[in-house]
Amino acid sequence: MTLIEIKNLTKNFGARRNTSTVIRGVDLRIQRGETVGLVGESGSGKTTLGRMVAGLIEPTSGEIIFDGVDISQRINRLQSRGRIQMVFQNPVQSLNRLISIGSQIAEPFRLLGKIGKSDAIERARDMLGRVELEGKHFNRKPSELSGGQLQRVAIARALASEPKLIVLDEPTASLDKTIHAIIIALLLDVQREFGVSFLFITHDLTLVRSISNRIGVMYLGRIVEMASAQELFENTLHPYTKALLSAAPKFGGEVLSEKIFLKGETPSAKAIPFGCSLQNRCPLVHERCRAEIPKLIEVALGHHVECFAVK
Amino acid sequence: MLKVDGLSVGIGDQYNSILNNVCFSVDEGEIIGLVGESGSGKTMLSLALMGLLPKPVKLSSGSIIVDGQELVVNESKRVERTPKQLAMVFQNPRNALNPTMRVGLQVRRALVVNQKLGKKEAKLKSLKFMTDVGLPDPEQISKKYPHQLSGGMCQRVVIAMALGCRPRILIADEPTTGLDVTIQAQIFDLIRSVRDETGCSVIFISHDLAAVSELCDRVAVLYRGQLMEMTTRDRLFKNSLHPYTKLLISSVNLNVKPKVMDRGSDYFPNGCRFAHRCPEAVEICVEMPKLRELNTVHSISCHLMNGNTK
Repeated sequence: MTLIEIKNLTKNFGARRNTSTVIRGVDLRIQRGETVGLVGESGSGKTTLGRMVAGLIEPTSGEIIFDGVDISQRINRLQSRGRIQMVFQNPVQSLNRLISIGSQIAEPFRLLGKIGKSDAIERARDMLGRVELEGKHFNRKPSELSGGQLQRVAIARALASEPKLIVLDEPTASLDKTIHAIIIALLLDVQREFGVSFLFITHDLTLVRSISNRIGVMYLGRIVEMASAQELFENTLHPYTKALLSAAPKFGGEVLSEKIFLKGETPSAKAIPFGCSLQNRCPLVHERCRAEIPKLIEVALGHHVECFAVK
Repeated sequence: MLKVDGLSVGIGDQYNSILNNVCFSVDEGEIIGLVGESGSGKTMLSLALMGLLPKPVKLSSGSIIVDGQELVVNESKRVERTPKQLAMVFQNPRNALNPTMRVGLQVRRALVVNQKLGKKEAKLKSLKFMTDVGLPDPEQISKKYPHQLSGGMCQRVVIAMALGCRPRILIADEPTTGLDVTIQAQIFDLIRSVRDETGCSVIFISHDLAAVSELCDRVAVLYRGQLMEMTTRDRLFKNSLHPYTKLLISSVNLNVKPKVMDRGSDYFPNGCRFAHRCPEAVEICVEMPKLRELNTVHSISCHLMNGNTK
């Protein structure tokens, strides 16, 4: 069952001649209880897309339909309030330094749940336990906790309003590898328990493969390939995805595959060439790529690719 | 090529709080990986080698031998001055470059200062080094300022500067953190080809096990200033023996929830520095284990390897 549907979403920053087109017509569906991974290099627009879904910035055009309502319209924003939550990359910055851990988790309960203060605190204590933190942290300030513990608090706070969708923007990028694994295990537990969907934004390809049901690959503000995690890694079709996957370092023991290097650099979002955005770097480029804009086409069941060279 | 023996680094009275009795050696033309979490002392180790330790930090004991010559440690307990045989590439290329100076001039300066070249010669050489690191059209790029170049290009400029010093050992401190994987793969390719062409050794510092397993010949694992295990890449990933290395490797496999203890960092204050999180800690761990050679390619510092078990 579709939880959220994004239709032809675009976002421009800046005005007139200085316009950067960061998102250029993205379509995306997320089912209930599903994890959708978004990968791409820096500047590909994955964070911007996540922020628009969470309602933190407004799209330039397009629709975000959540429970039958277009929440990209400000008037409908109340409908989704508290039901879409976000966990940010850096927990030290995303939590309030001056407020105790407990009150930060209790706040969404109070604001959205319409319950009394003591009930809210009771439930916040419960939440703290759910993310495997000891009760003694309840009255502590964020500066007294480590990065990994703070990220758990951020997850607890996001869960407090019983959301249907959580946008996770690189939730483990600022943490050490050993803590990393623990947070991911926690997220998977939480998903099983609450049945919440994840939009998981990351540039870590091993991570996205192991936790996502479906993965979208973004390049210059468009999803260029979208498939189930297994399909994407085993039957990669788009030339950009191939280059991206080959570039990722492989963990010990695995056979080192030949790297594919794309020539040149990613064009600026202010001057994206007409036609396929990869045309100046692609090994398979031909005339049609410069004359026509490719569309995301389903080439196999559930496998969408935006490339003329792929049949 | 490089031999580090019993190196301890600390602040104030705590002579070994940052690095404790670190011993390792690097052969000619070898790429060594140094891995560890944040705060494990990997960057301090490289700064100690370069003589760049920040003010309150002191090199309290140990010797560093580069190319058969021991480095002089001065009264302020630091390596006398940046040894000529060593060059370093820093983590953030944008911060390593001077933002108000054209990059070409920065590469030329490095040559004039280190190689005592004349201006004209330095210009020719700088263009050659910039071509070597794969910068397209070095004439044009040398006229640009760092902010006009992408992160990957800046890192190439920094590597060109390091190469200008003709180092025997290149220290790369997280050279690709903050860069995209596609750029990272290109920089790795570059480090490998630099090694092949100049025959220099590389110390590659990283927190990314996958990156290390791709690039390095041998790997050293650091935890809170203690060298835990050092062995060849293949042995480390297939046959790691230290509980910390095992934890580190298991954390890459996200389908298994790692077994982690936390007894607080004061547990065994003078003992093994991993004891407070070690799932296999035993009583003898109150003593600091010594780095022991199991065989010619595998050293480990853990009491469990000396026949002590639970």
